[in-house]
Amino acid sequence: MLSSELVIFVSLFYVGLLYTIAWWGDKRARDGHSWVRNPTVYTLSIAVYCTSWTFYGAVGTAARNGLEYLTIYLGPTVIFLGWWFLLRKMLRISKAHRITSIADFISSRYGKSTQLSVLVTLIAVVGTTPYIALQLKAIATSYTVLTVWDHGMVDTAQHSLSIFSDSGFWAALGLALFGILFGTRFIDADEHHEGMVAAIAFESLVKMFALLAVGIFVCFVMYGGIGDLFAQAAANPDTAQLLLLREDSAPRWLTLMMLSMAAILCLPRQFQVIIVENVDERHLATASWAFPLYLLLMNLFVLPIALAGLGALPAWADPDFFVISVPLFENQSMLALLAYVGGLSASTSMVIVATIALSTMVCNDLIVPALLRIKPLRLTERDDLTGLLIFIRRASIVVVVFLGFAYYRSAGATDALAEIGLISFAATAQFIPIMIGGLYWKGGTKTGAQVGLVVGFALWGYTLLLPSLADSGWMDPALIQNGAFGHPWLRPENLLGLTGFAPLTHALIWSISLNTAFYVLISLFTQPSALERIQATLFVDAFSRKGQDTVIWRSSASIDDLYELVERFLGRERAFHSFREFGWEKDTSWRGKGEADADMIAFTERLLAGSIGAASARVMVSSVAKGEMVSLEEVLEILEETSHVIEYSQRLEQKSHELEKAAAELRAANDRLKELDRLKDEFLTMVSHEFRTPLTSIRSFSEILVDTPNLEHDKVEHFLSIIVRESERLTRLIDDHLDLARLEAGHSDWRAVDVDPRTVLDESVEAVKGLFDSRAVQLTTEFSRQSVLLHVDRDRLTQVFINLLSNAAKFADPDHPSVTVRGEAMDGGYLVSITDNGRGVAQTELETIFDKFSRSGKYADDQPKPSGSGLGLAIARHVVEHCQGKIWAESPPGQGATFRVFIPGQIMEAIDAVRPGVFRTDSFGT
Amino acid sequence: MLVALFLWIPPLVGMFSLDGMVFGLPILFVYFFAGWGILIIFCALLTRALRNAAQSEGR
Repeated sequence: MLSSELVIFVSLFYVGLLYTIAWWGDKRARDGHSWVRNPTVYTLSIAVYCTSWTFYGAVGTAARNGLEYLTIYLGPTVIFLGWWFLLRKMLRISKAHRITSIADFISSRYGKSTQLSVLVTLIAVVGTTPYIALQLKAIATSYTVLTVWDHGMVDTAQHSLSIFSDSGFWAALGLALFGILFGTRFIDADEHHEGMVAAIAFESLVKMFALLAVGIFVCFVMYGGIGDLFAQAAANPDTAQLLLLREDSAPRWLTLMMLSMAAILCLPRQFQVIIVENVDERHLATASWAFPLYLLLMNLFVLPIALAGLGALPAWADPDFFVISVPLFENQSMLALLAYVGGLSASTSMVIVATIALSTMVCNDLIVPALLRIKPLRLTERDDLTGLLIFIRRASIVVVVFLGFAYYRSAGATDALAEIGLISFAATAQFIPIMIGGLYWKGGTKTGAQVGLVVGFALWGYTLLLPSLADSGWMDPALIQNGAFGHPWLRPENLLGLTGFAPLTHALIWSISLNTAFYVLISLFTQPSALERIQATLFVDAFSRKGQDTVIWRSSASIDDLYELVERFLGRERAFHSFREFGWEKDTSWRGKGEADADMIAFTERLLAGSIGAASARVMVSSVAKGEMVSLEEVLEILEETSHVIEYSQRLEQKSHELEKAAAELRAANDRLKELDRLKDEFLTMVSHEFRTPLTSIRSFSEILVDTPNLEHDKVEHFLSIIVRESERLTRLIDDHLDLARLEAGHSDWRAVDVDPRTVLDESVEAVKGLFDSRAVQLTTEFSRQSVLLHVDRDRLTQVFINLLSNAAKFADPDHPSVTVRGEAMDGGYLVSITDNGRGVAQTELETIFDKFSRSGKYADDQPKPSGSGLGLAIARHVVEHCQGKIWAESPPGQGATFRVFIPGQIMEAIDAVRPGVFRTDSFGT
Repeated sequence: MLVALFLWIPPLVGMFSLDGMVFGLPILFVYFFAGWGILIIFCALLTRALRNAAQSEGR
């Protein structure tokens, strides 16, 4: 037992220390060297989640229900481990819209609705009241435990006669003072409280240190290690069952888990430290594992302390305060004092953050909108409103703290700490459907959110708060037992006859399910306003959208008007800095009578939203830019127009793609034309060259004949014969040209008849016999027994074969010339192969050989040029292709050349046997 | 995140509610704290990986 003077002195000293840290943190922040802005401090400030409920209450819960106390910390762990999905999005949105509280967040999502923000604020205040009461109770009781450690202390704590002798009153007063000093020093646009965050982080360290110290003492001093402690606990049947899960605990386990997950997102103070006080998104990434680690450390020794308390302490000791009473029992009064300080830090941190968060909400979302609506106050015309704002916030802090105190004095004193906290959690959990829905579902409407929230909150009040009040004797317990109007279906803890659940689970089942159901159904059946639609899109698509909704305002107000407006709410200095920064950033003028652009008006609105809430900011800005605000329908029109323009430009893009494609085709065609032009030039050159050769010889011989009259007769005859031969060649050349030209132009006459290709081949062979004989070429023919009926122009086909045969004769080996002709009937046509044993065709020329005048490469230099026109193969190709056939050359190295012609036709019956024949003629010489 | 949720809600929790000791500690107690620790380590590694990815993207 310690003297109350010492305890009070330590408490005051501790609060003084906190004050110093907060003051120092603020000073550093204003000097610009803030050490508060780092991930560690951020994580520790989130640990404000661990209130005295954790510090004292978790041990109490563990002593009653075993490991169930863990659920309250596993829920937040789950949320933080999954920060990427939910917290990150909330953070991103809040930064973009300068959200300052959870009421602001929800009302912003649903069209900056004032009604909704009022509703959320009311629920938050009512819901937080029991929680604050819990902290006050913890401070008061821990003080009593520490100073009056004996059997009679239970009575002392609960029956303090006067308010002024109740330590809870002084605690409330001190905390309100602290909140006023650090939460509302000035009005800032971004609502960062560096000093407060620094103090909270320090408190988180203190409470963890204290709990760990007590835990280590219990495990290693009182017992011989943690294993020994558990072994002793397992030996005692009362404590052994705490180490296991209770059979019927599944629904409660699930409920608590869900509640704690909701709490970390929705509790106003958690929203304040996680979202509002965050300065860098990367800090959240660190906190995602560091905060669960903190929770783990906080919880490690909870069960051991509970077991030790149960094992060692007398039965009247309240398990909720084992953290203090166990060291006291072991006569470790300094350790008990440390534990008391830890508990004090847990309580104070919660109350400070909660009241600051709530005062912001009450001021921005409750009082200011109300004052703005009272016309006679002429609030919009007042000069400097910062003083008023600060006053409202301070007053709200006092009101909130003393609401909690009132609850503590009246109702909360009897319940266990954890049960009080859970009532609070259940109230804030009502925000979950509209928050999650608002983040991921664009269809949620304001009306749906309002109705859902009202229904959920009403059910919470009826099924949870009412019984809690009745328990403490404020109401007739008959209502709880018999139901309203005496109807059993209206019993608060067994609504509509639903039984078999614990009151908390029962309340949550009803409130959350009906809340969600109303929210979804009414959203589906109501039309969102234009602003709601815009905000819904901005929230749900927070990651896919860049930039902000600056289109809402049309340029209309003068810059000075806006500046004065901001000055009234933020004060001279802050308005000056904000505007100057904006001007520098955007490189525009930020003072003067000139017109403000849409960007600046939107900037003003966001700036104001930071200090008076989104809904009020909207009203204020529209009072300055009155009448000239673009109606939301217009905005939507603009948006639609934009989407039309986008569509139009997409079509343009498509068109330009098509154009590009056409241009590419044109380019290709042009290239082809150029190529053809080149070919034509080449052709002309060649033709002139070809014509020139015979002409030259005709001319030169004619000139000789003319110039030398007395030439020998023999010579004259010889020359004349050359002239005749060259003329014939010239004629043939011209004929071939004309022929080819006709073929190419398609003007040629085709007289198609049914023919047997063998007869055509026979005729062709006959026709070239003279040539073959003159060159002593050995000709071999092999025709298959079967033949094919071809429908072709017989003369043309003969022309092709003759051409191929005479080519073969010309290019066969000069010493032992030999040519083989093979005709085969095939499935679907007839294949003729004509093979010589000459030098063959170069692989590169197998294709080009069928072009006009392409023969040059075929001849060795020492050979005389054959007399052909060089058009034979070109003509042959045309003819064969006209018959839907194919002509190609093959030339395996060293095996001469084979020309093959394939012409499609129908198979005929076999007529003759194979007629192998060898034509061999001795040469006559040439 | 989902893994954590399923590990810690009934009925899975019930399966570990066994009599007996591991390393001289109750099984359920060890189950919770070991799982908790492992998830924290896992999350820290994941966060680091994400940050590195974000940094290399920024370059």
